[in-house]
Parts: sequence; structure tokens; C-alpha cells
Amino acid sequence: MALAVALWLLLLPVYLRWRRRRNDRGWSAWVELTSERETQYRLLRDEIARRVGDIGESCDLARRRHERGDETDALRVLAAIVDVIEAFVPDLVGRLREWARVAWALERVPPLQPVSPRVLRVGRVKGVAAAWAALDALLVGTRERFRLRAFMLRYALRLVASGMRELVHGQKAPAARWQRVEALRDDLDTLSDASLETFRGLLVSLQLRLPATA
Amino acid sequence: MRVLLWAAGPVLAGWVLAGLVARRRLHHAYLLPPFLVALIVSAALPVVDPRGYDWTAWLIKETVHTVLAFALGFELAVRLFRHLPGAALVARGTVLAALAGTAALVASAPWRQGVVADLSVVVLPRVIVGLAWLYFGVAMTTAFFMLPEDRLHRAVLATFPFYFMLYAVVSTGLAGDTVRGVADYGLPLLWLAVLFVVGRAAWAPDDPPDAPPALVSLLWPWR
Repeated sequence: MALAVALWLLLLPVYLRWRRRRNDRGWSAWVELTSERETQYRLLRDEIARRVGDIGESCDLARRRHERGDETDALRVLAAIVDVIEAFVPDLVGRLREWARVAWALERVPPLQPVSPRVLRVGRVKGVAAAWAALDALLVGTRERFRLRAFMLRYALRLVASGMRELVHGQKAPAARWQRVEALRDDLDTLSDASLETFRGLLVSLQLRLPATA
Repeated sequence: MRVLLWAAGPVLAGWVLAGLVARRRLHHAYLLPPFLVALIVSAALPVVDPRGYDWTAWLIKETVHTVLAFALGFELAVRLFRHLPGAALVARGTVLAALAGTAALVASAPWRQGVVADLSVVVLPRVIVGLAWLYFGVAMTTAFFMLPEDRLHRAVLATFPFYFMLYAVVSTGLAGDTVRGVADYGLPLLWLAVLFVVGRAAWAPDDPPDAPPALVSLLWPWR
């Protein structure tokens, strides 16, 4: 009896946090996914392309500074890139979490292939992709595979963000550092595209469920 | 003071019921009106027949309230998740876990068969804890899937678990004798607050959600 009460008290803050997040968004989390799907998709695609493009341009700028021998300035640009990534990645991670929950609630989700480790460059991210492919092969339901996809993408995106942060604060040799920056940038690009594909998959599944709003 | 608290409960329950009828919200939760009627009738019983109101009558009253509260919890779960198969699976698991937990709590209760007092301080609080878990589980599942809630459902799901849990803690003596005196007044006051919140939701003007009709019919099929 005391255990049942204590467990309830422990779960209460989790419930209140979920409630607050849901109330902040109200209907919007579901409405965004069901009204004007093509517009929503285009908006997200453009936003991701803009942010990834900004990060890419900044990386090029930092590399040029490095090639000119201005390492301090290059590092300063790199720190600014980390700030941009740290704003972009949590946003995308939050969206992936929401999409996974919506997909979980639904009946059918179209099958999506996991990202191949071959197209990724950073070792740890490749490892995540390999584990993802192995688990994906074990799961049967498309809904479960969709949730796995969202989880792995979130994890891999966080790895990219933390990898970038380590580069700024770490003691890596300059040549190795800039190779790593390039690899992380490419992986961020790949993972962003995969996230967009996830969104597309969810839109298709909602279209199957709600043909009237298509 | 106690008489006032005792009288305010059925009055507020009547106010909630009137709100449901006036705003045409009876179909938002079919089992809420019977639950409210049971509250009003059971509050009137000791006045109508003071000598007939014994332990057995009290036990019947509590059983009816508990059964109706469980049924209302099930109804809300079915309403909220009926059209979302994935979420319905999770909700079903939550409800079953609450029921299994209640059964386990009751089965492990150290009570003497046939002793009504044991039922009131040993068995009933455990059933009420299960009830609190049922409502809490449904509310948690709703929040997890970010489902927008109808105002009336939100009022019920957000307030009932708190009252039931406090009721169980107080009536089983878990909270100790020191707070028990406060709870003699605190518990009825909390119940009045719960009824007030539900009543406000019942009387609130109907504002249709700003969402596509197909989505509204998916998430709020009772509208």
C-alpha cells in the first residue's frame, strides 16, 4: 500500500512535466501534422536546409581560416557553429520525439529503411547506425521500427552535437580536428535528411488515417 | 462546520449535474451523471432514514460509489483512445496494470472476514488507491501522447486521482494521527474543490477547437 502511494508520488512530477509540455502545444502538435501537409513538409524541409546550409557555410569559413594559419579565429568560428548546432539539434530531437509518439498512437506507419552505416563518417555515429540496422531487422511492426528510427536518430544527432562540442574544447591536433569537423558536418547533413524522411513517413501515415483532410 | 461541509457536497454535485444538462454535455461522459446522482442520494440517506443508516448501508454506499468511479475511469479511457489503436494498446496495459495492482493490494490486505470495520480501514483504501492509479494511468497516457483533452475530461482526470489518493492515505492511517484531525476537514474540502473544478468545466461555454474536422472527430469522437 505504502509502495503504491510512494510510486504515485514519484511519477507525479513526470506526469506534470508531460502535461505542461502538452498544454504548451495544445492542439498544435497534432494540427501541424494534419493540416496542409505539403506546406508543413516544405516549411520543415526549407528550415532544415537553411540551418544545415548555415552550418556548412560556417564550417567552410572556419576551414579557410585554419588553412590560412589563423587557428584562434578558426576556433572562434567553430564555437559559433557549436552554438548553432546546439540550438538546431535539440529542436529536431524534440520534433522526432513528438513524431514518434504520434506514430505510436496511430494504426499504420509506412516502412522506412534505416540509415546505412556506410553513408556515415564518424565512428560512433556509424556504430549507432549499425546497431539500428541490426535492431530494425529484428523488429516486425512498422510502428515499432518507426519509434526505433526516431530514437536512433535522436541519439545520433546528440552524438554529432556533443562531438562538435568536444572539438572546440578538446586538445585534438589541428589537422585531425578539421577532418573531424568535415565528417561531423556530413553526418549532420545525412541525419537531417533522414529526419525529414521520418516526417514524410508520418505525414503519409496520417494521410492513411485521415483521408478527409488530405 | 462539519454539517456545512456535509451539506455542500450534494449541493455542488447537483450544480455539476445541472451544468452537464444545461450545456448539453451528458454525452461527454455518460457515467458521470449516475456517479453524481449516487453522491446526492447517498448524502440524503442519513437524513431520510437515520436509524436505517448503519455499517451495511455505508458499505453499500461506498461500493456503489467505487464501482461507478471505476466504470467512469474505464469510460474515459475508451473514449480517449478508441480511435487510436496504438495509444489504445498502451492505455489497455495501463488500465490492466491498475486493476492487477488493485487485486494484489486487496488480496494482501490483512482483514478479518465479516468485520465491516476492517473493510472500511483495510480493504476499501486499497481499492481507492487502485482507483487513483486508474485515473492517473489514463491521465498519464493522455499526456504522453500529447492528446488534447476535452475540458470536462481534463477536470476529472486532473483532480480525481489527487482526491482518491489522499482519501486512501488518510482512511488507512498511513498519514498518522497528527494529520488525521486536519484531514477530517481537509478531505471534504478537497472533495468540494474537486466538484467545483468539475462543475466549472461542466458550465463552461462550448468553444470548438481550432482544428480540422477530421482531426477533431479522430481525437474527440464524442463531439
